[in-house]
Amino acid sequence: MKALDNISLNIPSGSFTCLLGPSGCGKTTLLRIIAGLETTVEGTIILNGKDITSLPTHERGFGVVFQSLALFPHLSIFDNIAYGLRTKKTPKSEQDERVKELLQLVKLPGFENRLVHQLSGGQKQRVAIARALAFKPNLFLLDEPLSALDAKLREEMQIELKEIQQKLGITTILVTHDQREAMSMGDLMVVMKDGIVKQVGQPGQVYRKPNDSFVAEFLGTTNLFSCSAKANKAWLKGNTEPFSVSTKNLDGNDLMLFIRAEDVDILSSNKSDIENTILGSISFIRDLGNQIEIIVTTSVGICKVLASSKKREQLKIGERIKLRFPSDSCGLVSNG
Amino acid sequence: MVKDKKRVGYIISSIPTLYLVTFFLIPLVILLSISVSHRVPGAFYEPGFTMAHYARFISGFFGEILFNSILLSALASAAAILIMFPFTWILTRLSRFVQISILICILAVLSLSEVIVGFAWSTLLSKSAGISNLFVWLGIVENASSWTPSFTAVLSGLIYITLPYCFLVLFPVLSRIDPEFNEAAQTLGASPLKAFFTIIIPISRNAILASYIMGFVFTLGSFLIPNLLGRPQHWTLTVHITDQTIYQANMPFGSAMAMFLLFTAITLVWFSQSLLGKKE
Repeated sequence: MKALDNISLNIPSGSFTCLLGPSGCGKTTLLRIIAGLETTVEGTIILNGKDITSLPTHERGFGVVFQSLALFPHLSIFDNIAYGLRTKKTPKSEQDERVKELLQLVKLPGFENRLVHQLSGGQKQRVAIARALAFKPNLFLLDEPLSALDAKLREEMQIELKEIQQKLGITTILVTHDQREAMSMGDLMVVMKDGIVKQVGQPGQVYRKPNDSFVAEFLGTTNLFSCSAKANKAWLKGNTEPFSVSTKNLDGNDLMLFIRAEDVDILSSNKSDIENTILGSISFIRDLGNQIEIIVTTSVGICKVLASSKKREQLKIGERIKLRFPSDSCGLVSNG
Repeated sequence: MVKDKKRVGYIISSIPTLYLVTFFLIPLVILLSISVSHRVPGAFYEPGFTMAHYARFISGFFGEILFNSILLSALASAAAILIMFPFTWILTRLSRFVQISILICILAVLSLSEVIVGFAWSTLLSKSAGISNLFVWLGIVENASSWTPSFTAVLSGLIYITLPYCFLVLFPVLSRIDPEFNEAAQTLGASPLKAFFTIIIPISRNAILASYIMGFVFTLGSFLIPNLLGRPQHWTLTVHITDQTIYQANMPFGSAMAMFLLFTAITLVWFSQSLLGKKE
């Protein structure tokens, strides 16, 4: 069985790359291959022009933060961070200085003599980051390091991690299944599925112009409708009027029209003669705090709409409403 | 209702208590009383109080035997761990199927009685059918020789019977060690061997200590192996206890030695418990 197949990635020096995908898509395997913890049947890994495919892990010199963090329980925080410095035979005085500097960087000054089990989840996280960065690695790899933290702490750590990365300018690869994390942290986003890279690009670009229906659906709250298209017009199954779309030069019968839930407009149902509209009835409404999510049943299928919570008062379950899909927000993707 | 439940609890717990008192505590008290009674040469013993047997034991010849017994147990359990720790660690990294197959083989060794193990080793180390013949055949030595009875023979036998017990203590602990510890050490520049010594061994410290103590106490009480594979000077305390009580008809002295052995074992277990109890 192939865990990964035909992957070709070029990671620019100094960038923050996020490997994103559902669980089991091979993103962790890819990271482990880069770290040398997993072997490949074929393929090469090139670092700064040098082939490192057969170089053992301990000679690669990459800093890795594991999902379990893997902080050594029998060592103090100082010894944990200094472990990598010792294997590299760094002089003792330099070790002291470097550990102090790193603890400063991860905002844990004075924690040298604590033990691992005395730290909170977020603190362990920071120690793991400091340990991986101790010997100034040329590549920084993180395997879902924040998944064990609660939502608020996770967001704080995302910001801090990004700050550290920018401060050091270190080439970083982060594995995550959280699209928000990938979106907000990465300079480059790699979307994977079933061991295959689906799309590579800047997060905003991938979000706006997904390659196929998988990427479109995986990022954000997305509506996908089967359609056939010709010359910027899409005919949705179950609707006679064609929709204008922004995607050019994609014609065919087995396509999907996608529109983000936040881009769908709600019109009062009496308005008529407007392009790209469809009628439906509200079947579900839920509050998301700053927004509300409305599920509308239409002739082309279920449509999810994200709207300002100010509209909450005007909407009732069972009510018939008219939805507009602005043509510049409608895209076409292949079904994949 | 509640009272009934309590009563049932008392009745159930009284069964093992009664068993332990009858077959453990009472014999122990008898042993203790014999160990301080007067010996009647040529006869048995008569009640009394004397510390002479203990004094005789501590001084001179028998003190050396105690020392030898402890040394033998210390060496045997240390060697067993040295062999078993790397073996178990490697085994835990293998596939489930291999693990279970080897686990079954090791547990099968436990079903062999000490008598069979003892005789097997004495054959294996003998002049006529032993391994030395193999070395002759390979041209390493000139003539076949007998390697038993000897200290090495006793040690080999003891190591052999301790190995599966060591494994049983180490296996569950080592198989629970997160492989990411090892991987983390390697990403930090440690070779697999260095990671093994600086990470895997230290984090298994408690398991190593527990299995050492268990092996130690277990071999301290072994009787057949030293008897079958050793000369009288290699005999452990247990062999001497049997010798004194049965062949020399010196029940009080044998009892005093038994008390001493028990005391040594308890002290060691207690000491190790307090070491293990400490937070890392």
